[in-house]
Amino acid sequence: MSFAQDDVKKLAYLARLAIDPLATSIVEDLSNILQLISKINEINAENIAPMEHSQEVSQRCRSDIVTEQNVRDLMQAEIPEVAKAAGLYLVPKVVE
Amino acid sequence: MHNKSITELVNNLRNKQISCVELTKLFLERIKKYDQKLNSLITNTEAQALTDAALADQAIANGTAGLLTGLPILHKDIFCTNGVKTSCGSRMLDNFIAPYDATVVTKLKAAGTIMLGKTNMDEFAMGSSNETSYYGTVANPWNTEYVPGGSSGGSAAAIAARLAPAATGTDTGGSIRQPAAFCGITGIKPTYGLVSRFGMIAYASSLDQGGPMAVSAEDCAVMLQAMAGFDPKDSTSVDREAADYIKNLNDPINKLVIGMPKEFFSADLNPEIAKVVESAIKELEKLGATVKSISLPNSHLSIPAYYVIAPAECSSNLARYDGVRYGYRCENPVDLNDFYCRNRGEGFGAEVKRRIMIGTYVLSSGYYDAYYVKAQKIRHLIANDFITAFKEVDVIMCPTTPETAFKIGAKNKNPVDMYLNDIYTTGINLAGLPGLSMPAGFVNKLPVGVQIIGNYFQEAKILNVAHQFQKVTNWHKQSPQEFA
Repeated sequence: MSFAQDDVKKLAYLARLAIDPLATSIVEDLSNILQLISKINEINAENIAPMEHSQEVSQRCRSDIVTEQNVRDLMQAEIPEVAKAAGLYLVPKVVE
Repeated sequence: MHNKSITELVNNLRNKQISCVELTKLFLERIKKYDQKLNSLITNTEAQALTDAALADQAIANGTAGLLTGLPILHKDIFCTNGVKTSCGSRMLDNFIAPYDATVVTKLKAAGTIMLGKTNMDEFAMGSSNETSYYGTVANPWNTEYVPGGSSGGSAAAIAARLAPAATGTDTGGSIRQPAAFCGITGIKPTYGLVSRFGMIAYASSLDQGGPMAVSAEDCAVMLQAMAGFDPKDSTSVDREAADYIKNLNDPINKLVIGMPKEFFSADLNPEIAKVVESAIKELEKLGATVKSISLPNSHLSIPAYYVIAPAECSSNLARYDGVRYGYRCENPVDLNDFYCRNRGEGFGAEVKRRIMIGTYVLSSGYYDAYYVKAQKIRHLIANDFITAFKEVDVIMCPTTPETAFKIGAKNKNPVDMYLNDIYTTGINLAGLPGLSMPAGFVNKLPVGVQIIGNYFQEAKILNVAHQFQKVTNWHKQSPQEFA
């Protein structure tokens, strides 16, 4: 089992990762990993339930009350001035 | 002073044999003197540490000291620390100043610890050698041409060189235990759900677990006492009565039954490592323990299943790094897609990108059942093997790693070579069990770690076994000459 260059190009796009799709090492590395993980097909686990949490606990529910405060200014302190305006985040133009 | 145990240091501080400021300065001096050779720290928080140490001295004088007041420690740079850079070893977060503390950080602060700095690590905890860090490789203090292991390699190297008495680490597939083994220190990965993951940057959420790294099991017990406990902010935190990890350390182990998994002592294991592990088990037999051969028949599937589940969760968790609200932003993007792709392409390193892409593949339409669901089923089989074994034995002992630390660069040709280093550790994460690594000897002047695996929430038991071993041996007291 192995990946072709086009497979890697597609995966990189789905994951929004700029990579050099012509770099053979990426294709080779991912193919080696694919070969490793394909070993799970050596056994039949048809009647086994998938495991979600080792303690088999389910998600807790809590009362529907507000516990957090608005910390927009604190959060916006993370990015440079050029990336924000009027409490919003600036990204490249989406609609022409 | 820098070789004293945590209990001795805390007592010395309480008895005013040394002040918190003096002790903090002592370790900061050691960091200044030695860390250029090791690169174990990403961020040094000297000024804050000295301020906190002065406050700790006041707390001791006022009689308001906590369990660990004045104890200097290091945090792995995966834990968010309010107002302090939290990079996770990545260019993506090189400019990220955490706006809050992780629960582990809050708890250790409340216990009175002083943070000296943040330790180096593999990028987003993805690696077994610390070579994937954006901030460069960490050197192993036992031989600086060798890796310290990973991903908590900075924490392990710093403890081995006695740059701090204790550090935090995290373990997704062996990231506390493997570097502990490579650097000759003690480290414990607790049961999944015991230590809060809130504020601990996520890699593979169903496997990640924080834990302490220190010289001895006794030191780890004291640290774990402060770190463990239910946290409503972590939806996977297990709500159960708090345990005492210190009070049972001295219990006799004459009724202990140790399981030795035959699959972990096969021909693939380096015979010299096998010898060290077997002689450690013999020491425990001298203390009255008995040994039983057990089988973990699906253990050979733990690495393949792990490298489906962990990348799947990583691809989902790391989707949040788009460069919009925080993190790395590329220069002059042409459009929104270019902005996302280049932020992530330039912000992440090669290993992180590989795992994101594999995760994207196993979660994609047409492959989800064949890979992700199948791996989750195998995870059940692996957990069941352990559950069956623990009906007959109290703890399981085996090597932590198949070999000692390797040379920097030795395993960079094929990522799979690196992955196989975690052959004895990943199964424990998949099952969610606690595991400890302790030093038990040397091969070619490099430390060898022995792993003790316990049943769910049996941290006190494995710490007790490790402490009894460390009472009759002195492997944990060895430290590298160059950093004496």
